[in-house]
Amino acid sequence: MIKRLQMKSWYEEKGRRLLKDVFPYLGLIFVLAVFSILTDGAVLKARNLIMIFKQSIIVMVGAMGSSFVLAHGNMDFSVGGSMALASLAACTVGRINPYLMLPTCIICGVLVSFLVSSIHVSIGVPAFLSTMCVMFIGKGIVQSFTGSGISAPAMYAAWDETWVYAVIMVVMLIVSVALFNYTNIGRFNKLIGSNPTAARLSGINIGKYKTLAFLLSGFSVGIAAFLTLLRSGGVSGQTGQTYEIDVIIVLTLGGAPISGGSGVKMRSSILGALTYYALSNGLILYGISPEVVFIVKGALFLTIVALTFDRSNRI
Amino acid sequence: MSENYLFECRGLSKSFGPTKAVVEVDFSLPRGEIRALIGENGSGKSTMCSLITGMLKMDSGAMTFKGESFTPGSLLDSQKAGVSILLQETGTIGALTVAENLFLGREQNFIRHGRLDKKAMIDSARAACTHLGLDIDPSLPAASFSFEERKLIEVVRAMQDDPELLIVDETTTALSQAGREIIYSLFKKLKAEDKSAIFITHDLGEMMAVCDSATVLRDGHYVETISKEQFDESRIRQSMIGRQFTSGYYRTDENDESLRDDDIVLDVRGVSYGRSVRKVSFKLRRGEILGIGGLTDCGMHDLGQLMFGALRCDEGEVVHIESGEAIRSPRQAIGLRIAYIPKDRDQASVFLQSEIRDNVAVAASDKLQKHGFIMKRAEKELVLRETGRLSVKMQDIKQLVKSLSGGNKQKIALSKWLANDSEILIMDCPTRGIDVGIKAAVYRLMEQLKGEGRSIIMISEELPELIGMSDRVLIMKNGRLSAEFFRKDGLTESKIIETMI
Repeated sequence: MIKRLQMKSWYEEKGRRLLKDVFPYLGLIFVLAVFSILTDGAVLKARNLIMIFKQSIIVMVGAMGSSFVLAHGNMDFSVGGSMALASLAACTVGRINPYLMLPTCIICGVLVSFLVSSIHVSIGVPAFLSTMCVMFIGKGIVQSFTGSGISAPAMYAAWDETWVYAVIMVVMLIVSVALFNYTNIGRFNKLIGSNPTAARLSGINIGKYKTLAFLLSGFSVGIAAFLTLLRSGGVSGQTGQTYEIDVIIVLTLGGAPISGGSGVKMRSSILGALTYYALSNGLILYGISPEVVFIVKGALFLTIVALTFDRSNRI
Repeated sequence: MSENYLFECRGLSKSFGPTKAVVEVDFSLPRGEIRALIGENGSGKSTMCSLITGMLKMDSGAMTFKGESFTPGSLLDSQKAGVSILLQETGTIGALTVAENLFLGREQNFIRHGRLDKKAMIDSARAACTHLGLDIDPSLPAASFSFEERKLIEVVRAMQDDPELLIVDETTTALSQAGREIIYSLFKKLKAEDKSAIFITHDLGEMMAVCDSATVLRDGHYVETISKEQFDESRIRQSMIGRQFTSGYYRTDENDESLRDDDIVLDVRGVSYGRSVRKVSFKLRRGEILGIGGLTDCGMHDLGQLMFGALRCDEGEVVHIESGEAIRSPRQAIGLRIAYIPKDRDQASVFLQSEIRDNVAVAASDKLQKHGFIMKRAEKELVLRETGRLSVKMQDIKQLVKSLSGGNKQKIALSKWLANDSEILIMDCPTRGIDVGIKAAVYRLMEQLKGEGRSIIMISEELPELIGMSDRVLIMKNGRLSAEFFRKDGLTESKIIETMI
């Protein structure tokens, strides 16, 4: 009898885990299905799907880096400002030598994240504050310097091809998954997010691994900034405008717990980004005005957080 | 149902999904009786208390209180009827004063001319505290008191309603001897007034000393009620786990001749920390189980952290003899294969939201890497070996630790350090709040580790286990070492208690 009870709860636990795993997939399928009916299949046309794909990759890449930060329980609000700064720097340097554009993006992203994490780790300012300040500073600088916009070197127009995006995404995914699941960087960040006190008492160098997480986030923002330049052809006051919010919504949509810890998975970036852009795209194709799309995004974010937020530690 | 019972229940049942927490329990409590409710973790004790106090609703069954049918819908309901409960967790609100905490929700009793008469409230609070032998200033915020004092403030609060049935759910685990005495005297007072109490505790010695009878639960079922005349530790334990212990509970050997005074592994030299640890010096020998005891706030818990580098010594040093290094950080200590098991398991020891695999492998992660990458197969083997050694009840290594029972969580905490081949283990209350079955497993493990020549420092608030397991016991009092006892001289509780207080 006890044996049977144990079996039953065993299945229940397995079932719960399975449900958590498939939920983000179901979300994506659901969104695609609903809008293909509403738009008479317009969403599923090849050209449209490719557009969704290209749009989502920019956020996907940023979300992969942000996953490391989210894993240890922080949110990186600096990614939008950092992307704007990296784009500005890259366009400026690109005038001197077009080939320096990608390295400039990456260096700039990493430098900004190093600054942010140093303020957080060494001085102890909460990360959401230090990153948010950098977001404003970055966007402010870019808006005051770009004016009507600075364009990227003309040679990059030819690079705005789907395969370029796909290659970059696949490489980033492989690197991220390897670091996240098969090295101490990913594991320790997840453990820090799960219980910082236990992490310290288990010998984890918390400052070091938090910093590494931010640096990875900065690196991926650099890549994302490069993709933005490919896609938009230059930098303007609008560059990286809602990027930090997009990244966080994407991670949540993909099933990552906002409280961090071991529930953060790399697949959240991909599933979340595809779902998010399929939804925006579907809403616009259905004829809903872009302003209303914002309302839908906000409501969606709230709903998901309310449904998935881990309440076990709530007082 | 009989009139002379204060509380009675018949066929009480409660399930959570597929888990049957309480199954058809019949239970009757006469007036003027202090009844223990005992059983292993997960046997349904706490659930039963929640049902009696209305915090949970029963699935089926009937309860009577003072001869009348009793169906409390909430904690407030049962409080009004005359049932109070002291919980294992929960607490006082730190920012409010003691008086405000005591009369939370009853402020209207102190309203004079539309204003709250704070002075009257503080005076009543002082009277209530003194009445129970607690000497504190009720106008100070609760946060300014120690954990133990705050626990006792809760006791005072629970007694405000003048309950006829008091339920104490493992509160004493958190208390020192002095605090426990307050609860025991409360029991005596209740008994004298022909009122009753239900007492949940894992400490059988304490239970046998203060209770009139004990009801044993196992897997949610009622097993038996044992009267005081039949109290016997091994018989009770057997009843709780439903089988006989093949060997003794504690160590059986009288003395370990192989310990040598010149074979030292850790040397604590004149360590001081704030006001809690003052100039403490001692040496840990290879293969020794060294017990450290005292009252909760005697400084022994801080001492444990100092030896692991989790706290920095203000003065003095802790030297790892083999390497000659003074210990400065947990990271360094772990590298020297020193382990530390904190007292507060869920907050400081295990990663509840993480997988068993990561919990066990974390301290050994350096040796599980190759070129910066984790070797998954070696890791899996290691985790399975260490969890298997302690027979952790789990589905697979990807299960989250939060879904394990308390005892199994503690086994995970131990596995982490076994996986790192720890040579010196500092254990702070390793058996706190876990049931006898798992306690015995921890004791067997300690013996086994000792046999392999590893050294253990066991900090504990429970004298029986210090006496039962240690080669040597150090007693701390007000931050200083006050006494040293050797196993070979024969350890007794009375001798040790004298040096603690």
